[in-house]
Amino acid sequence: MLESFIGALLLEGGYNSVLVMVGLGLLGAAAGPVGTFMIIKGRPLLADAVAHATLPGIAAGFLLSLFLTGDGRNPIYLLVGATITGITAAGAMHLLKDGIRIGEDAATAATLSVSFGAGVVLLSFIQNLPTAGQAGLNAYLLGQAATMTQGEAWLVLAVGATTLLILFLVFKELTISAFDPIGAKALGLPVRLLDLLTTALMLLIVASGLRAVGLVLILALLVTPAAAARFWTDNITRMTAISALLGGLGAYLGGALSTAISGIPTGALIVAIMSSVFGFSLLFAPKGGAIAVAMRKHRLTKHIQRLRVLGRIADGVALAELIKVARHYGWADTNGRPTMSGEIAAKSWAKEEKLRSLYLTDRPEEANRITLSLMPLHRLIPRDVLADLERRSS
Amino acid sequence: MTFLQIDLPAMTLAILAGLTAALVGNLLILRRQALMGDALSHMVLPGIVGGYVISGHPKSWAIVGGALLAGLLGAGLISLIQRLGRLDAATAMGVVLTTMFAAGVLLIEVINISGIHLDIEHALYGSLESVIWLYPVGWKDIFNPAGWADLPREIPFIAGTFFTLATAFFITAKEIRLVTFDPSFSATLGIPFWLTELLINCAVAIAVVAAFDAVGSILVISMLICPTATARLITNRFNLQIGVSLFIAAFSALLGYVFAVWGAPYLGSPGAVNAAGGIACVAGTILVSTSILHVLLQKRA
Repeated sequence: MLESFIGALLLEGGYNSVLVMVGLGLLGAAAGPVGTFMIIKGRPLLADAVAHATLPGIAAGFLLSLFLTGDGRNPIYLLVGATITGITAAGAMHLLKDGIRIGEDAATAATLSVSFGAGVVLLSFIQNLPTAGQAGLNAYLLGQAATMTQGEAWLVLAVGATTLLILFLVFKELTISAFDPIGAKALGLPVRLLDLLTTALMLLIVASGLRAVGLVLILALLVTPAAAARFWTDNITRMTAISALLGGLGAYLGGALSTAISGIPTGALIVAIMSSVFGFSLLFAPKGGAIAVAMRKHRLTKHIQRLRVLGRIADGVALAELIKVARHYGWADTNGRPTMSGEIAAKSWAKEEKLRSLYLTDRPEEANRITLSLMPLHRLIPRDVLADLERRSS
Repeated sequence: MTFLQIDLPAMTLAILAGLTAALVGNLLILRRQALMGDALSHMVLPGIVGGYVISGHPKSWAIVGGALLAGLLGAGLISLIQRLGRLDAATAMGVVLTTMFAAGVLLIEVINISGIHLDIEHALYGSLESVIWLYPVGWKDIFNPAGWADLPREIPFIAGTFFTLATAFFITAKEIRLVTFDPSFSATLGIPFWLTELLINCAVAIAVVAAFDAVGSILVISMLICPTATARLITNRFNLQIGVSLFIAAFSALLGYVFAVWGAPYLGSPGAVNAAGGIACVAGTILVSTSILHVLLQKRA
């Protein structure tokens, strides 16, 4: 199993599986950024409603294809059906939401469950029919990348590549209109059109990814890498790039695993990988990870405690409840009287404080950068400016 | 008399499941947490599979316990991720629900390798069709207590859940209104925010698990949301809204079942179609037609 996994990773698994994995990688890389925009717009679960709503379309496509061609498994019919009901559901959700009092959350949940219910009814209808081929429909629930035909794999690859290209071309416009629709309108950008484009790309990714990832779990492709990327950076360009990287890598690895372990739904494998990456980012990301944030908070608390101790020593006030802290740094004895090193530290703190306030009277616009930093002043401002301050303060 | 043995227990179960879900759905809709129902119905899957692995058969109480545990764990994870990651609720839900559902799917694959068989479709679509009460041969037998021991486990369970939740609702009606409509005022009265959150999540998880048997993990959402959303369009009064939502839920369950079992053959189906799906369709149709009516009436006014 391990050998076939490594073989698949190195693209030695044969033409078909290489095609599937590259396609999945591209689709995942496109889904990450689209998911980032969906999260910024506050609609991360729209994709879930649309994905579940493709089920009746798939079933109807199967029936139509059975009726017209005698075989139900024509993927074009299924894809067109899925897209039509997906769009219908997005429209229905929009109507329900604006239909006066139904909140967006209720509209999403209602659309999702009712359209899925309609799909289940149609599926059970198909199962009653005396024809073969309906078993293949189960692949659309949880994804079966290993059994994809060449045509299906090419479709995933084409959609992934096209979406990536579109994202690359209109990235700036999408970013501006997602963050600041009113400002974007003032700049003359077609905000409604860009909004529609994001939704259309999401729909395209969902519809083309169904066969490989499955409609129940395809939401993860859009949401999980985008959510994980938020822990690594605050910069939107970097965030979309990271979500593309994580999404592409996760989908690629999931595809490779799926070719190595046959029979296990691809969707579940991809989610397992992406969720692990998310968990790792949540805990260990150096910028926004839980551990890094907790450590920063701890350092800040310590820093403020130190400043309070030094301030009291410099002012000659009793240390009171801060004795313990002061003793920890060797700045006071058991009775709370400042030690020699405490006096020296307090003096240099007072000097630093004087320089800081002098600097801030000169340049109040720098207040945020200076007061929020734990660094000493000489690390924050140029040397000649500091020398000038020192000369004036003495 | 297949009606007494197959259709009557299935209809009873569907109606009770609808009532239970709709009751809890009132809380979700008013608190704008409708998606929590969506998340919970996905997140219970690993618990159900785990319970099945432990007990070894599909009708065991261990499944109920496992599902409840998984639901609460998922709800806890969602709020933890929200707090740690400064993400919005919907994003955290999306990540956790897909993770836990995928864990359930992988667990099913693992146990299927070891020889026990469990269908993922069964969990998604529900098993209204497999509920059978063999005892009654005539109408009189329904009222014979000797036959009640023979009832499928799901019916007494969901009936018990419904009456327990309804009683709890009745007793704490005042508090429920308070925490729903004015959470900050209730916080000053000493009802902590996390406690209401936990209790409501518990109530939803219990309702989801109980109704799950009947209508499956995804269709349970339609019973949580549609009847209450419809009731909201009809009335603004809290008590009346609950009453209307319960009525619509029971009505959809009944009509949906009748449509799926006896109506479908008239529409060209060789046999009955999935009843849980039929119920969801009826509930959705009622919601959509009420919305349209609502819009038309408002335009005229």
